Amino acid sequence: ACGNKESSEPTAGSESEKAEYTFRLADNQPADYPTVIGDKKFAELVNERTDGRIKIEVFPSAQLGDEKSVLEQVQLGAIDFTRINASPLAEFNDQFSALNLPYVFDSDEHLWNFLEGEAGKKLLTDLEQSKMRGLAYYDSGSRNFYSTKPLKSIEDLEGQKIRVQQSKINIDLLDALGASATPMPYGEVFSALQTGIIDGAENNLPSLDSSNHYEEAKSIIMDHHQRIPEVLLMSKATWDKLSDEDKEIIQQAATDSVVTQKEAWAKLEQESEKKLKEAGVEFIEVEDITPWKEATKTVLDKYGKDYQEVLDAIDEARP
Amino acid sequence: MDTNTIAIIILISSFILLILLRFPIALTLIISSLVTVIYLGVPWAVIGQQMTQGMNSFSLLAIPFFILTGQIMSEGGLAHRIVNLARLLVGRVRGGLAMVNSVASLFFGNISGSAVADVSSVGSVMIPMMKKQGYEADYSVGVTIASAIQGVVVPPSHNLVLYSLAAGGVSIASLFMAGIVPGVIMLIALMTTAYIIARKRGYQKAEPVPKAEIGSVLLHGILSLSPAVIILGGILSGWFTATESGALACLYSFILAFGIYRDAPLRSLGKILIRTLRTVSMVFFLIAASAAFGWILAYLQVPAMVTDLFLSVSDNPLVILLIINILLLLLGAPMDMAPMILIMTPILLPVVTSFGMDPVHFGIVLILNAGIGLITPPVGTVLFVGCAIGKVSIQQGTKAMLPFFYALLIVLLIITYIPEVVMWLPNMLAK
Amino acid sequence: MKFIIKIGKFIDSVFEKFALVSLVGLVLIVTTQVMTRKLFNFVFFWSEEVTLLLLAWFALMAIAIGFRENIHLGIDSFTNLFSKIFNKVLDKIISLSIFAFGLYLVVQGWDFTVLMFDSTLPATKLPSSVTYIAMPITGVMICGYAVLQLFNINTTRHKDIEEGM
Ligand code: NA
Ligand code: NA
Repeated sequence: ACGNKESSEPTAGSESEKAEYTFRLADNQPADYPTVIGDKKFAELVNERTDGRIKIEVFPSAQLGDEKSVLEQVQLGAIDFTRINASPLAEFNDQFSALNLPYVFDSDEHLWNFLEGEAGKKLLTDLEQSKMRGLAYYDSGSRNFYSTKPLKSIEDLEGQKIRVQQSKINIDLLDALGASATPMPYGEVFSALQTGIIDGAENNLPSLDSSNHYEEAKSIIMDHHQRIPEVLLMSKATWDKLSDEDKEIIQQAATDSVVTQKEAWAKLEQESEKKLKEAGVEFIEVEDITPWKEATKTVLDKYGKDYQEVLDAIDEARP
Repeated sequence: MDTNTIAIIILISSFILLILLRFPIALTLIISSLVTVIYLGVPWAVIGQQMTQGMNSFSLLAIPFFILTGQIMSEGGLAHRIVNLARLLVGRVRGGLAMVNSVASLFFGNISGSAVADVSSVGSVMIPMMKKQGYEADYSVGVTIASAIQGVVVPPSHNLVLYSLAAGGVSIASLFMAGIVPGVIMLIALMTTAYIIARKRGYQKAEPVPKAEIGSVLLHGILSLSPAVIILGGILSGWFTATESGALACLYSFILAFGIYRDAPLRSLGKILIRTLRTVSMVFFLIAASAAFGWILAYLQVPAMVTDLFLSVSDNPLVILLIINILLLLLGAPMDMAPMILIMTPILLPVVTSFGMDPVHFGIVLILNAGIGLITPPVGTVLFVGCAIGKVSIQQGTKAMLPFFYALLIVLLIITYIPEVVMWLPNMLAK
Repeated sequence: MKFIIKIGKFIDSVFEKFALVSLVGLVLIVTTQVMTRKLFNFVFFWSEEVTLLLLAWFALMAIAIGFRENIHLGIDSFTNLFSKIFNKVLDKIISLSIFAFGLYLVVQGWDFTVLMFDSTLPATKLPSSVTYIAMPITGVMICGYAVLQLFNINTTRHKDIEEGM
């Protein structure tokens, strides 16, 4: 919704009377987080390129609600933009589930080749049926296993109790690796690591840092099992009321903001890695992903067939 | 004036108008949010969506579980066993039954978080007993209602869960730890006040518990306390979430009350469930409505404005905290516990965190304030119920409550200005 | 007329029983979840989702029953200063607002139910609408209670059960 009563619908052709809007963009991360830095860049670019005609206010720290709530608000047109993780989007367009599958991307380069290609863009535009429109992908790194016990190779995961997010894919992934999946709320992971209820969990590096889990879990194996991007989303109701010119400005600003966001992400990831290493966390890089892929092929076979088209496109995007 | 400012004026003035016209508070929150949303041209549906979202939380479930446990405990005869235990422990002090009352209230601890349930379960055992022993009715009521307030701060307390939700997920375990020391200070303050008055009025010690009964009083007292121990132990050890502990405590107190003690027939379960439903109804409607109201406040960036306003008055945290305490005490006079927590947390929390106050510390300060509001007229549910049970007028009850009210104010100042009192235990937990 | 009252009371009783059974169900599901997690180290994948679904239903139904039982009270210190007639008119206005609120739940709740029909809940893969359909249903009940109160019919069914007394 536009928060500006005086704004009028744009009248065709009259350049002097272009509509003014104040939009709202919700993000659940704090103000200095890379996604919010990206959001702000996007807002700044739109503001610049419309000479202040379109203002976008960024609401960080989940002020307007959690991920699920904000997504519904975007669908209703109550707020105009949000930045959310791609994973919950699978509930709206199940083709997004392909991104949740393990070891489908070999590298960051592979991921971005796919996301910025035709198939990646199609995932975004296909959200229109659910009354929203994807504008761009943001970086969220990769997820890796960490544990209080040593994790030097794939064999070490065997028998360990690992916390995962509650989803069938994740549970089957852990089964395939011989570990035991223990779903529990994120907030309880720290004390569960302390008391030994679980041995480890999995996440990206900045989250391992900010959650303080590294104080207990001193071993991380960089298997990059998932690379799930973030998405900058717009309400279709808002999109539909824009003039073609404004649509183009907004889309372009979103695309252009990605560079800033990726830089901010890379910087944060480096800082986290440095801090974790200083705190004595042992990093093991996985040089050869093949054994991991082979061990978890059953998961890909079980879930992949529903998203074969997307998976084929991912294969083709391999650099 | 810009659209935002007009919207804020519409929101606040419609809220005040409807409150004055005795519209239900939750309904008032919804109507004023709706009117504002319509003015802004935001789709109406967002209010309904926020209401549903407000209730879509696993931790929220701890609230009906705590309330249900409390109801089973008082209906199933656990409450009077706790009173017996307290009698054994502190009955032999001068004005003994007043002490028993305070300790029993602390023990019963208002798991339900509804101080009303606390005052009616402990009060309906204690007030008649005190009157029979020659205590004046007004004094009995004063002690009872002031003691019931301990329960809102002392864990387990559903109000702390409510605050945790309103504050966006502050750790329930930390809040529970934080409530322990202030609870003990409250107990000392209340018992001291009760003792001074008891001396002045010449009240006697309670009858000793017969030697032969000591064993069974101890055993059953401790057993009756154990639902609270399950909840507390489960949460503080990190074994269970608040919700899980609540469910276990429900089941456990059910088995204890209906399987072992059988003071009440099984069919009274229907009554217990309906009573729980009644309390939950009120609290849940407020939670749902506050979610919508809180959303529109955030949408209009009101919390940030309030923070700026406070900081423009003073940049001294001690002064701001004093203003906040006075504000909360004034609001507590007409407002009930749950709306106070749900409405004021999103507005005031950003103010206090701006100068580095811990959300856990603020939670305890806010809840003690709201708790004191429960015994102050014109709207003091605990005061009303206490007066009804003790058969005294509201005026008499208020007068008798005053010395305890002052004692609680002193406790409030201590926990506001000496953060260590509140934060010492949770900080230990964190290490 | 008698027949209509009978049907109304029957629907109301079913509604209330459903709410009470949900509460008991919630206790049992959560207890089961703790047991399986602590003892067998596994959790039924649907348990949290079904719990939240049942909670949403229970909460909305409890709110509706609160209207029936006159639990959602306001602060009457100010209105007590006014005449009886003023307060009688005010009662009607409040009942009308409650009716309007019920209607809002019916209309918006239904829209929302339709909107969310395409999306699914992650674990059970039920349509997200199953949560939201509780809104129009409780809305209808609230409208019903409000209409009865508008015509001065006392809707409270548990006068004898005061809280905790
Ligand atoms: Na308590
Ligand atoms: Na009060």
